[in-house]
Amino acid sequence: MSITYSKQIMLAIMVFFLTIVTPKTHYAYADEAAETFMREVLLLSNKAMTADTIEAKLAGVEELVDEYADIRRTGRFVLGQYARRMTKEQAAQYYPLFRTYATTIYQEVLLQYSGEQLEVTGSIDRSARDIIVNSKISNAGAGSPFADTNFQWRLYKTPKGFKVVDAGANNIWLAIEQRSQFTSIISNNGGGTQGIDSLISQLAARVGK
Amino acid sequence: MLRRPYYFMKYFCLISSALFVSLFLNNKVEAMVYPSTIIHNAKAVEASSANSDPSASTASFRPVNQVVAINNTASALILIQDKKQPAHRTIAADDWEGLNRFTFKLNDKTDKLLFVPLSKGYRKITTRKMRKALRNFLSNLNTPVVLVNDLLQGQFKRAGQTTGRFIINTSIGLGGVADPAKHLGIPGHTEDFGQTLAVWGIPSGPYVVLPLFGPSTVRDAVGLVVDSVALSPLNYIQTGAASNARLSRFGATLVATREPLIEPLQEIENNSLDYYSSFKSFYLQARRRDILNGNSALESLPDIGDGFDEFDEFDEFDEFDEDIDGSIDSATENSN
Repeated sequence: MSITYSKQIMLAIMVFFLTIVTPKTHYAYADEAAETFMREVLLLSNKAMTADTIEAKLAGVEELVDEYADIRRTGRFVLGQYARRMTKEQAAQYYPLFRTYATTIYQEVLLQYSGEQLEVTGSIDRSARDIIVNSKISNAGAGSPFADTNFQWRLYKTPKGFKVVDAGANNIWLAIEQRSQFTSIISNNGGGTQGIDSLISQLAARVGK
Repeated sequence: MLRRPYYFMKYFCLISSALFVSLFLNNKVEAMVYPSTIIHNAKAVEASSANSDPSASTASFRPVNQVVAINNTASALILIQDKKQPAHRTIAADDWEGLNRFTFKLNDKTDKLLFVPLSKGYRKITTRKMRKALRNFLSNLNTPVVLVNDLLQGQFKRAGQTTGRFIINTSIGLGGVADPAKHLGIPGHTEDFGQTLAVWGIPSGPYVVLPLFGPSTVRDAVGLVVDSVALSPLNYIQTGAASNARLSRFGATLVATREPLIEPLQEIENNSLDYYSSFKSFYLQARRRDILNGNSALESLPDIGDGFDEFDEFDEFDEFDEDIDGSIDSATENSN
């Protein structure tokens, strides 16, 4: 009885083994131009991180963000359905604040991981203008929890060339997370124009500190 | 003592496979392997419509979704035309936000007072390699849960990978401490019953923050109970040693999971204007990714260029922002 059982189990295991056929199917194709762009940006950000003082490093990152990221596009996206409700005056206040806020996040993240070298591993076209470039830490130390993490960069093709609009890790995206926060703040503070005012004042307080 | 799990597994597998087959025939199992199944089905549709080939149209199951596969110059775009949103595509609503925020605050306090210090202590007495080994070991222990859920989702290839990994890592990997299977090209993955329910088409229900266990949805909370009560073999052994093993495994899982997240979570909290909403978004994004097994997570991303295309040609956004938005608003009003 027990012998037949173990035979059955062995058989089942062997069948499972046979099913491990691993020709990987890539469902979208690489975008060479976008990869080259991202490689260059990563190279420049590594270079910025070799500056002597922290101030110089921060300034270097800020320059890169201004040059290679479309903060305005992201800033509009994170407002979600409220983007249309924003008045001209509010927009004039909001966008510069968002720029500073987003730049600070990029600065903090880059400073935190300044020892790690990112290497472009591939890309996926969502559309002709919307491309995701994947990258990995190439010099991860032994036992590093981020050795297998896929760091992703969402690029958008604007008339001025590629711009970074979002950054993610293993399919979890920052701008989507920010949209969740921003829309929550707006809706919890009266929604609409009133809520947007509240968001602006919270952003100002955050950026000012 | 040892026979009970066998009996249980036998009947469980029987019942679940019967359930699975019935669901499959009812087209409730949504394109299990995105997107290869869809492309396959789309080809069947194309073939049947083009040649009216009886063998293609009399396939035992109808295509899950109406699918149009467009092969563009350099990009394969898969459009899924389905009026009803599949359950895993919708984002859980936060209907109980007030209570959730309260529970979240409590959890955060407990985390800071208890779990973070524990994780820091754990980090102090271990090296990076030791911690990696423990993570490997614990994920190897979780194999039964992953395997059963792979099977329930009809992911036979992934079930094969899970089994292969278990055998390789338990033997050559010294009981799961090392992960040689990964180096042999069989990467690990996780599954849980919440994901299985999602694949079966059960909607997530509202977002909920569970005391101690953290963010979840109604569906995933049910899944958590099923996983930890019914699908863990250790639960079927009732001895003192087994209870000790359960308890130490729980504690080990807690610190091993929390430890690599000490800095990232702190950073998220520092950077957020609304930590609760950040956390919710991270959780829901991760769930969607895991349910889709990473395959079509990119397709379901929202469009960031949305609303900007019209005035890409212009450098000054401000001038046109309002005009375009105004026209959209009035257009929708008119249509109503």
